[in-house]
Amino acid sequence: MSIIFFRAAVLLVTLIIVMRLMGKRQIGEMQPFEFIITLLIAELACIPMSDVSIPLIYGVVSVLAVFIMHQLLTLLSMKSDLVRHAACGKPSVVINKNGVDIAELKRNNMGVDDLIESLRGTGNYSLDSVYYAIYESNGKLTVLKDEEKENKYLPLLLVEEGKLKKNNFELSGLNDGFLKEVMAKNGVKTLKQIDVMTVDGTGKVYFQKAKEKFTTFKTELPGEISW
Amino acid sequence: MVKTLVSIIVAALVIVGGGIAENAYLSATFDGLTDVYEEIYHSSEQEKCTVGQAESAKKAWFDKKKTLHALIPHTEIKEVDLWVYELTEYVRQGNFKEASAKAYVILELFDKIPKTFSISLENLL
Repeated sequence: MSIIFFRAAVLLVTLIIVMRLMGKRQIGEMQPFEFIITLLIAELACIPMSDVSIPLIYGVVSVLAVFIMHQLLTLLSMKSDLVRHAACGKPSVVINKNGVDIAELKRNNMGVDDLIESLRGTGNYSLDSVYYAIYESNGKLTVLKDEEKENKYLPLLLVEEGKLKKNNFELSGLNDGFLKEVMAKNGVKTLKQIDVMTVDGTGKVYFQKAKEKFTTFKTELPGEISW
Repeated sequence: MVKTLVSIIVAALVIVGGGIAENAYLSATFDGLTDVYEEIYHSSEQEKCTVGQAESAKKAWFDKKKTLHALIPHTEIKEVDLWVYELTEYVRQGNFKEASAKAYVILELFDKIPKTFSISLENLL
């Protein structure tokens, strides 16, 4: 009985560490700790339920072990910020007044793609349509919206951390000439100097040089291109 | 807060108390069974074991295993069952050499099973 308790406790702690290391994309709507408990309880109750060779008490003890760990962590989280941050994580500000915080995104094992996807989930399509975007510790994105900005056009991500997003580039119908022109206008020689670049169907460009504040500007799209 | 603390204490007491009781019960049960089967082992070695002795040892195991089902995996109980049946049959046939070997295995199982549930690094890993 006691050994089952210890084994359950060791595995629970391991799962919390692993989930915390995986970052915010692995969880949704739940705190990492709640997510793990949900995963474990179902499995722990299910195994002795269906396997008659395992005494029922094994399931009861494991579930009790999870319960004790949950209550302990809840108690410690209420008392100490350090424990709460270690077990549940803390919110990450991924868009601030300077634009997208690439380092913060990486810390959560995410890319600009993931950020834009989450942003769309909040009804915001353009990176400059929000003042702040925060990944909460439960993996949910919350935004402080810039009410003056309209979300009428769909921006496409063309450059992410110095890499051209070929699919989006082809989808947009834009050419190398356009890209070079925008780069030249912003004093950029190689793609590596760009952290984020999006373009919408009206020619509005969101441009963020590496480690610099973003800028937005209008440009002429070549030919009849529009989306 | 008080409710959380009380729930932690109660659940911890259930596990600690249950663990101590389980340990004590398993030790006492297997110690008792070991005494019974050591006698069978020695009498089989001396070719003096009777069917009645073997049957009463089998009954001792079957009486205890009803409660052991609640604490140890049923596969381990089944394993002991098989050895006990074989031992009884060898004694009935007068094959004391095989009977003593079976009794020895049963004694080893009685020694190992409670250890499987003790708090040790090898059980934790």
